[in-house]
Amino acid sequence: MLESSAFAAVGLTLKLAFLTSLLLMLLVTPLAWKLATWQHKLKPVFMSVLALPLVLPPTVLGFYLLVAFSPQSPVGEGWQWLTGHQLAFSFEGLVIGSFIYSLPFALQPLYSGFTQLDKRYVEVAHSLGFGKIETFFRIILPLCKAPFIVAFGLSFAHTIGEFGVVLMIGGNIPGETQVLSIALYEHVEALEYGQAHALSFGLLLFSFLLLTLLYRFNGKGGQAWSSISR
Amino acid sequence: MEFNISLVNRISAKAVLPDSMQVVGITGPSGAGKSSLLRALAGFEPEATVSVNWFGEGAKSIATAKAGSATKTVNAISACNAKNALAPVRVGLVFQQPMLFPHVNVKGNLALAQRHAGSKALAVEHALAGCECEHLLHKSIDSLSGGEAQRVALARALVNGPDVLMLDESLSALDATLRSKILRFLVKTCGRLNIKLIMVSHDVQDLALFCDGLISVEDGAVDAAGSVAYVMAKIASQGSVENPCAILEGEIIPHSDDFPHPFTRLNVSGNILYAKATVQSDNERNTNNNTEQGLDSNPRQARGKIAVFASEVSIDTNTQVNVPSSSILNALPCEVVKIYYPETLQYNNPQSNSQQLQTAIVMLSHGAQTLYARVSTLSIERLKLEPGLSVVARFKLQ
Repeated sequence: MLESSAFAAVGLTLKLAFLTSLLLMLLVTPLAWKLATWQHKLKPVFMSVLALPLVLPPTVLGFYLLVAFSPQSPVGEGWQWLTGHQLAFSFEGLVIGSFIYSLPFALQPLYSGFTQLDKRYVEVAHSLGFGKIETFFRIILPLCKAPFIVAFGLSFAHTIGEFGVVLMIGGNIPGETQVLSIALYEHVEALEYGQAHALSFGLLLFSFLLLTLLYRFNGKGGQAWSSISR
Repeated sequence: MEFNISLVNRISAKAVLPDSMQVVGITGPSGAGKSSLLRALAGFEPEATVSVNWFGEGAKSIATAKAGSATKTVNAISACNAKNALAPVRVGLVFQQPMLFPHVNVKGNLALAQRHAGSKALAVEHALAGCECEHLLHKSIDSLSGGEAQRVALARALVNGPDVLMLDESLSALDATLRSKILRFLVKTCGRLNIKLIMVSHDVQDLALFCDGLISVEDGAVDAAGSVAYVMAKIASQGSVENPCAILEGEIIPHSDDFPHPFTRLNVSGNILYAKATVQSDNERNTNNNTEQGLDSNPRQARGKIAVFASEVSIDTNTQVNVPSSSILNALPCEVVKIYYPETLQYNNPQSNSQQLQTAIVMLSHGAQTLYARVSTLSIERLKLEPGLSVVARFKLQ
């Protein structure tokens, strides 16, 4: 019932969500750890900058990203100089956009997980002779398993559901930037309701299953969720 | 050992203790900064300025000797410094909360500690046996009681083998019997492996019995540091401990059939004392591996220590020790040295200006040994106690 472009959109969406979540885990983990121990009067300002994508209309974020990605801006120009092609309307551009858009969803669970972690576990590990990397993989990661799973799952789900940012910076290039939500919008525009139903129901089911899994992993009443506003 | 620590607004502490002191206790009222001092000593306070020399000249000379060629003294010293920088003193800190890693079981915790086991590390079986937790090996951390978890945390530290082991009220959840059993093992093991043991405890008796040296901390500063007797005398005179504890040393009289009572007898310069428990034998401290099993060739020579709390001691001006005239078994002829009226012991009752409610600490000497008695000022008046008077101290022993 689904045509090949729909499969391409599903594949692209999963690829985008997976890459974005992976990058978020790699880069946001040290940031969250730093923030959890950082004390400074400018911390609220910094925290709200990082939480902005939670409340900003995605089109606003998308607009600024579009401006930044254009070959006339330093960012777009630098990218073009480095890679030879432009950043706007490319898959790489989508990854960067999704990274910023989903960042609070990775940051919040990790941040609250790290603040709740008793730092004396880390001190004990150091006193037992553990180095920093070893302490992270042998102590912090297993102790914060739930926040890590929640952070990955939320970033993944949120990236799959994004629409506004992709619409602004991605355009609608099948196989390159046409993700599920955009494909769905296309079908509705073209009055292809059967296709739209299939995609919508698939997304609904997938999101539901993913969230159920996350709730199960985050067994203890889902405290990491309370800090997330939607 | 020697240290000088400052942490803004909290600690400004400095002390020098003889390097021969293997076990050092830290005492002081709650909130005095004992834990902060330990944390700073362990290097856990990034804002603290810490300079500490754990093993003093002894360790340095060993390192210099290792550095080799005796002709180049200057080079040897710098090489020794470089060596120290390369292999810093490893400090293990055991908190009151055991901080066992909950994602692995007891065995897993010990295995993690073994990953970087130092040269002073204890074998797992030995550590488990000494800390009375062999039966806990396969238990999960959640299922341990407070006392069990504290014992496992101690075993974990021993399996890791630090050069300096710090205990911050680490055995507080254990009952007195088990605690003193484990402390005995710990002091013996640390003596054998040359691990410096620093312990904070609210239990004055534990500190007095098991430590070689004491540091008294007040308001983030070192109030007194030195031998147990010296520091105990100082804090007793200031009234900073309500119930000071004295240590008596003597020869342990071995059990024999003609004395069927459940007491350990201690001969303190010809006077026999009867203790039910808590006799810390000096033989256990022997660093010689041959006597590790406690098989001393001449058990008559075994020396023991007991702790006597001031509240247990009464003063008798009838100095005939050898005629039993009291149900209290222990009697020791003494001389009154000093009488303190510590302010913290006075009852603040503005309604009454009666002096008779007040309590004093009487410092007594038996040869070179010191005893404290907590008596009322009424008794002091009635018995006309004054320095130089010969009396008999009568006391119960636990």
